[in-house]
Amino acid sequence: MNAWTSRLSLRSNTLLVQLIVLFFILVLFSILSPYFLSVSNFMNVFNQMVEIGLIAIPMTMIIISGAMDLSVGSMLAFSAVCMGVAFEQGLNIWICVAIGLIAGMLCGALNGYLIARHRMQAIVVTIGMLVMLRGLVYVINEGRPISGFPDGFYFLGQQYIGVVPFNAIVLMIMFLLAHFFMKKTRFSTYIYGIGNNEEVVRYSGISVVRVRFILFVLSGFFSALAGVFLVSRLASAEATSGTNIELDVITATLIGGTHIFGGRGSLAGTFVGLLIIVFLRNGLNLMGVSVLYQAVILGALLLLAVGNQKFNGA
Amino acid sequence: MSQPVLTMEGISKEFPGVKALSDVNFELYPGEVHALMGENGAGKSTLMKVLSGVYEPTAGTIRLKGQEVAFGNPLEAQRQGVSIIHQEFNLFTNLSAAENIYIDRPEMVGRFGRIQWSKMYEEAQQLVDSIGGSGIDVRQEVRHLGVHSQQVVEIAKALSFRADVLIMDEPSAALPENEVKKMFDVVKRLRDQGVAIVYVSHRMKEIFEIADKVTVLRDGAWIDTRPIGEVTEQQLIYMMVGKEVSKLYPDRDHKPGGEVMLEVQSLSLDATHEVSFQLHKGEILGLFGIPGSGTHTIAERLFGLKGGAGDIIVGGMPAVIRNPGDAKARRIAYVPPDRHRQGIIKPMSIRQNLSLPILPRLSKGVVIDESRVREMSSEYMESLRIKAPNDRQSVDYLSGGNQQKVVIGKWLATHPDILILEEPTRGVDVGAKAEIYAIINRLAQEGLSILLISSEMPEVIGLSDRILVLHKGEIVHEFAHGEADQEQLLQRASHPLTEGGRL
Repeated sequence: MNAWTSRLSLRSNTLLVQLIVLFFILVLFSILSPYFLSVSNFMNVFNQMVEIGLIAIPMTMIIISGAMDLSVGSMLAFSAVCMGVAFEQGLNIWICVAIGLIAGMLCGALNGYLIARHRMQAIVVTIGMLVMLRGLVYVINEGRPISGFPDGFYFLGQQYIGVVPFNAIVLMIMFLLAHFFMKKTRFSTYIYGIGNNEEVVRYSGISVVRVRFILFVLSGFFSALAGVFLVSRLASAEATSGTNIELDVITATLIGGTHIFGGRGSLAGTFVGLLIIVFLRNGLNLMGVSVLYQAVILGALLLLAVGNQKFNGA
Repeated sequence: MSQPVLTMEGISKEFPGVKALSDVNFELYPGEVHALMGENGAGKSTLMKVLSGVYEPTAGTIRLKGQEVAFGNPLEAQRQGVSIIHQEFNLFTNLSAAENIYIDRPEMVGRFGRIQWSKMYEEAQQLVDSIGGSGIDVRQEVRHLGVHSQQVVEIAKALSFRADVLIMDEPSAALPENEVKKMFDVVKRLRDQGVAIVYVSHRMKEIFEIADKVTVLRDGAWIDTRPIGEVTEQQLIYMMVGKEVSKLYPDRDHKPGGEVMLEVQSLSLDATHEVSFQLHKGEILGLFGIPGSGTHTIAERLFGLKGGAGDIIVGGMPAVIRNPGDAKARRIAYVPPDRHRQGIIKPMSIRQNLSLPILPRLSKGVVIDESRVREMSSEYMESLRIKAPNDRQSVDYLSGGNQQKVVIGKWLATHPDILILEEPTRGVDVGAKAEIYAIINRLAQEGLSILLISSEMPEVIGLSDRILVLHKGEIVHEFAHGEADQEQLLQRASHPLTEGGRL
């Protein structure tokens, strides 16, 4: 009994610790930089974190299920460029968005097919996809940026509703929906179950293949959605879009307390983890810290946050 | 009688909040096999861990050959002559037997850190030969050895420290039934060489066959020590449980119906073997065979875990079962042999484990209906008497018996017509065993058709209406209820061709 209650309190404490870290970062930069604590800066940060945040939703689920998707950045770029190329053919922009989303889901489906159906290692498959899709992106548009989208499309990534960016509102709604999904649905029980003991889930007559497949399709979809928002925000679809975004996404997820070996984690945690890294980066930017040092600091934070996760440990 | 080689006096061991051992006395003489018995949680393992240097006792003294000792760690205990062989083998399967026996031992290292291979092979072979393992080539990698041979290597490793005291923790658990005899020969040989052996086991039959004395622990306390000839099985159970378990096996006062619930025709187990049989409504059909005989494969085939040829007819309708989901839809349930790996998700609650296979039924749309889950789970907590403060408790903290009841419960909740039980009481103590047997019997009486696969012969004999004996992928014999005894069963399972002859 003792061990159980202490583990429970430890787990809820994790979220508390993350909130304290976030609060500390906010206070620190408010003191250090005169530009940090302002509505416009905060809204700017929210506007820029949307892509990372959208992808962090399926990533959290995938890591809880004991797998990993490293191909998200390449899927983002692939979808964005597919959308751009379709637009250049003269199609309606919203049809192009749909094409981008479908392209992302197809990439995710290929990941899912290889990983779920053929039981290939997720890390290996998605590294393969990461490299392959990025190459394909350069092949498709020969490395040049695609721009000139209609104004209505820029609404997604650039419009503010009052003071709040539209895309940040979309992200919040997505997080709330996903949070509800992970608390209340049977699919989430299967995800946690697979992360803890895949065999038991299979022996319970549940298709582990289907659950894993759906997760990777979901990852493809959200990566593509992030691609759409990124293109809208930057007004340009580029072959380099989303490069290294998987590192930010995974860092946010792990700082948010999701266990690298699966079985444990939450979207609430991921959301706080996301805020920690975006505000940390924004604060360091405002203070003029070089991007190279930022990488060092974020890496160190990740090591601190995840360093005490051991296999089968707390 | 000679002096005891080992005396443990007034041993107590406390963990935060728990008193695992209180004032336990234990004496061991050279050349005796001393059985240590008790239910799960009685303190057997703790006592052996204290003895082998894993734990330090909170109070009490240990005297080895008259000298008071305090082992700081297992290696120190080994050096002074106390070795333990754990239930799970601790061998490096990719190293040779000799390397395993003498791993990390300075006496095998020559000048400049060079390993003295010839000396090591020679001494390892001698050691293995001396305990009846002359068939084993110590240069061979352990993964090429059979289970019995691996155990011999474990024993040799323990003896390489010139052990006076050898602790064997459930040594038969990892062995197929027909290899247990060979292990007994090794134990007897060691006994005759004057080694004192502590034999920890659940299995009554083995205790009466091999032990000279028996000590029973219950709830961390010493209950009694007696020569084996002076106790009966009933008395031992009474000592272990602390109350009368009048009958381990319930009376079968009903007849299974004539209706065939499951018919299996030419079900292939491997490339060359297939089986056919029928299971009736309300019948308990026992399947018995030594490991590799195909009993496990039958379960895997019926539950869609393994593919192959042959017809499965459920309730008169041909069924295509490609995965466990198909089996579940056909109202076939499977309580698998290894509950830790296949039965329960440990960090999850009792409630979540019980509801896992039937979540679609307990949901409105995609959303789980918590009130229905609660209702279902309290129903099975009650009817199976799962002992826990509440159903939100993680199953990790339940006893083996209660964990097993959770696995049975989660499958009963699917309302099956056919229940496959494989090793339903593995790692479960006597009290919980009797309860599980009563549950199985009640289910059959209520009309459930049960396929019982077990390596515990008393269980198969005590519960089954009929027993099919398998040998190397074929059904070699059928016993009606009350026809079989253990000797016949084992004989049919190991030497199907020696008709009626003795082993």
